[in-house]
Amino acid sequence: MSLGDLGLIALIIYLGGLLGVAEVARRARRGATPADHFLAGRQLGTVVLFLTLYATAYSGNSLLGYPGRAYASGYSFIMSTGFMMAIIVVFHALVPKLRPLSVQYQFVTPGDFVRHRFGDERFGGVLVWAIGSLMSVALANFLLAQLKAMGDVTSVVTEGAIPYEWGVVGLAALILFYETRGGMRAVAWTDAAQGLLMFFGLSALLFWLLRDAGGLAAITQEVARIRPEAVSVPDATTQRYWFSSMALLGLGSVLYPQAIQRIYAARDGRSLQRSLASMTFMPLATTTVVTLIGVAAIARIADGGGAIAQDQVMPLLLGQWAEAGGVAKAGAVLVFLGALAAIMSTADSCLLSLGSLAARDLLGRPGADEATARTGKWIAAGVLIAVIPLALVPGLSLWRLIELKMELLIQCVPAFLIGIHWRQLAAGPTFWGIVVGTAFSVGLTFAGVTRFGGVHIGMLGLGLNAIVAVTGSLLTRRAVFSDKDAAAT
Amino acid sequence: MDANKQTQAPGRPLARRLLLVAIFGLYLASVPWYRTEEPVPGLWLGLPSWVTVALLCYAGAAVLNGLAWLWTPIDDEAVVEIGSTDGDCRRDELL
Repeated sequence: MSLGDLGLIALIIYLGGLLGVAEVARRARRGATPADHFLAGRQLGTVVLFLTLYATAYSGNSLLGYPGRAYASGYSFIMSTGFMMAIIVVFHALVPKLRPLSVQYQFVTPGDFVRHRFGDERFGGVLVWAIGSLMSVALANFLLAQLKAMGDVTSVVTEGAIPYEWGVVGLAALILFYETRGGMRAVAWTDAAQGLLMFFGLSALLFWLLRDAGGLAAITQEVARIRPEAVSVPDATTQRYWFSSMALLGLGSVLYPQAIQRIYAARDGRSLQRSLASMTFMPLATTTVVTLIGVAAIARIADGGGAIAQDQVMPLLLGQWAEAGGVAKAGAVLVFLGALAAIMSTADSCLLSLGSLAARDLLGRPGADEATARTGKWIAAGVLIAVIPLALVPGLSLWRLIELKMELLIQCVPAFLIGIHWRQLAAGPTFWGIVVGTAFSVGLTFAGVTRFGGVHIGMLGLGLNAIVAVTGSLLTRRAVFSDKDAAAT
Repeated sequence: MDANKQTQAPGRPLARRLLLVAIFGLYLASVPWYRTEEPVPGLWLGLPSWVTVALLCYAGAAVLNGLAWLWTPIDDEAVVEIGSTDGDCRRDELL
């Protein structure tokens, strides 16, 4: 049986399984309220919560993009283990306070916290809308990237039997179906299955690479011979980039709306605590593994002077693995399915979050009724249908826009991470901080400047943003006290 | 809610803060800014020595962070005061 035939059969079984899970999730629902649809009735226990956090945090980019980055950069991409772990460290600044608030005030979206924290101030409404807009644009960009990756992987795993376009449209329709039918419950349960698939697929690939090359030391020695700079100590600019990446990803990723909604969706504090304690180890088991896979590829793939595109590295490796036949071929299909699972689990979470964000934060319908949930479903469907044509345009380069995802999200940091700890932070300066930071980051990114001396432009934008928010809040506070003193005298 | 309270591990604020400081230290040590540039560094455990150090730092950070989470009480019934750790003042008293 050819790789394509095996891939097609595995794909059909996998997709059939997803539909089955969606149907079970639909039958398990307890109502049609936003909390039930978007947060699974706030009943996610430790294991499902852990697996859905895992599958959502590691997208198709982690499985297909990161090995290519490691192939290009060498061992310095071990920084990815640090920046993925930084997310779970930075959560310490948010979760212990946000979680009880979310339970007591029945939050559904990140904007619900902003509304609670700043809503009664003059710029409170504008701030909720600005943050909802930034998060929606970031999610739509992320969704577009996942759709493109879905088409690529489907085409590769079936050796073209399912063309790129059918992969995009078919899988998008499937995600929309199970997300609309089963909501967060279906998304979380399919994420759990997808997380397991991803983990075992990667482990199998690394095992094969190590065994085939004669161990880690043999791989490193061969890489040092072919490309010495891939093993040498990184230069000062790369080291600054390493620090900046840990800060950017750590601060930005905790504000992924889908991550915040999983904090709300936990059954109780203890489930959340245990899930996060387990999640902290997953970068070692995932990003470290994909980095080693990418570095091992340097020794296996002769690129003829840099002719290999980064995102072709993983498919090339898997093609080599499949040539061994038998179990190896099944293993290669397993990794492809793992990558597809990672992509789909991220796409479905983006879609679910987009629906809830648009309905509650942008259209201003923070109700707890069925109509709000229904509006969210319709918006999610509309966004998906709008994004599909963009994903189908061949060669359309939206990657710079997609790069903006983290630069946009990180501008929301002051409202959440400072706002939850510092009572003097005011809505007006926080809003103007977002305007300044976003304009700076977006302007320079579109001008082609993504880093300055190794530091991400988004981090510099965040610095400006925080200065405006904090200084403005201090001045506002002084003005309030001056007014109070004047009134008293 | 009661069940949640009963099973919640007691918080250890000082130990938790020390763990977070130690994690920060491990993060600083993970980037080889203190190493001189060597064309081909020695191997430890099959990896370039600076990579092994980085991985050991991250493994240490994972253990400490896991412990820190187990010592972080997340009480769904807690009264959260914006901007204070001991609940002395609410935000709406100011603005």
